[in-house]
Amino acid sequence: MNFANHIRAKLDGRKLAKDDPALDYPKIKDGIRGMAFIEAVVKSSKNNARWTKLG
Amino acid sequence: MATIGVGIIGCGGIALQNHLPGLELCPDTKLVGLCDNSAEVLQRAVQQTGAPVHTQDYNELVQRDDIHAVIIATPNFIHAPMAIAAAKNGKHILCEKPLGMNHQETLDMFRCANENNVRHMTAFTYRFVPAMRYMKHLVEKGDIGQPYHIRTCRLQDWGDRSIGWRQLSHMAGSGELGDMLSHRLDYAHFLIGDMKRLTADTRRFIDDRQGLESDLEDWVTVIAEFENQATGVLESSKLATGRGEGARSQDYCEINGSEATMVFQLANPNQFQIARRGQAGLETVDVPHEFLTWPGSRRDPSQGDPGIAFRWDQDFEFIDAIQNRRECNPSFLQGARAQTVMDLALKAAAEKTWFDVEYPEG
Repeated sequence: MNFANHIRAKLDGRKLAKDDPALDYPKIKDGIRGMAFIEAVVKSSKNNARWTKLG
Repeated sequence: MATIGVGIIGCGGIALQNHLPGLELCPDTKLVGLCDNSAEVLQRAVQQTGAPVHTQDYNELVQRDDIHAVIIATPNFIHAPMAIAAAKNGKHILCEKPLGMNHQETLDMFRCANENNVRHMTAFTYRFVPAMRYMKHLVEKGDIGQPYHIRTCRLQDWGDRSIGWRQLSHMAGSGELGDMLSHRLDYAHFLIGDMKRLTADTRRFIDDRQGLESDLEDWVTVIAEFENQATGVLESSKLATGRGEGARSQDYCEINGSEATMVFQLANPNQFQIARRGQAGLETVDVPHEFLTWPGSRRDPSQGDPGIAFRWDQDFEFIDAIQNRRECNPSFLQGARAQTVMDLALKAAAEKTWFDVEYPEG
């Protein structure tokens, strides 16, 4: 819903405030961080479950 | 042996709340003596029990001919010298958990008790929880199929209040690990079996508890792989804000197998939850009557606080094992096995790595 509201605002040419609820959805950066976490988990598991730094 | 004379060493809350009512349920058993290094605590216990013998020196108690068995409910650092003195004087021993300060101490206690042919028991009270006993019965019967996971969560809110000797490494040995997680390690052995390897982490957030230094962990988690390939995640914290303390705070155990999931919470020790394969959720089940008390115990399961009263059965088991010249269940061996895991957990937390578990032989 937030994502859709953000698109609607863009289409309408409305600039949203930084704290507008429409901006509250996971962005591409969050997806990248999520993948980095998954890769660290897999790396840890392959490495005898060693503690692994998040990249 | 007509009547078994018992001495209690350490007269704090555990002795008075758990062991005293338990002893009262035991046939041909008499509380003879009390010992505590605090004159005030000792006096209070004498007034409550009317025990004829009282001393601040445990050596006096274990040397008496009219005392045949002792219950040790003191800070951890003094369990080993007390238990060894008791064993050398031919006294049977029920000792609070964690059994000792480290693996070597618990082995010394176990060997000394065996060499002197006395009964020995570790106070792992969860083995006496009706739901736990029934879950064990169902696991052994194959009702959960192949065990996949055990997950335990002990969450209490102790905040930053002083917890006395329990916050000092030279008196307690470990913090939340020995205080609370030791029970989970033991019942993971009880329900699932031996661990193959483990890692762990610990954390201390509170360095000062009401003006007294705290140098032990407030939080601990052990991750384990068992010999049967099951996995375990066992967590315990003193800093779960708002969760409360004691039997009413969060105390959760879940085991998942190929055929069923079972969930136990200490708030309802006479019930547990189960979901069999194909079910979409858990259903609550009453523990059958025959599992509500320890075999042979005269305890009426309808009397007392259910979150407390099951603990009284451990004293029955101790005395019954003495009277019938058999091993106690759980013995010092189970205490030493849990200590093996505890020592490795601290090492794993310090070195951030995994260790294979090698248990002491019985």
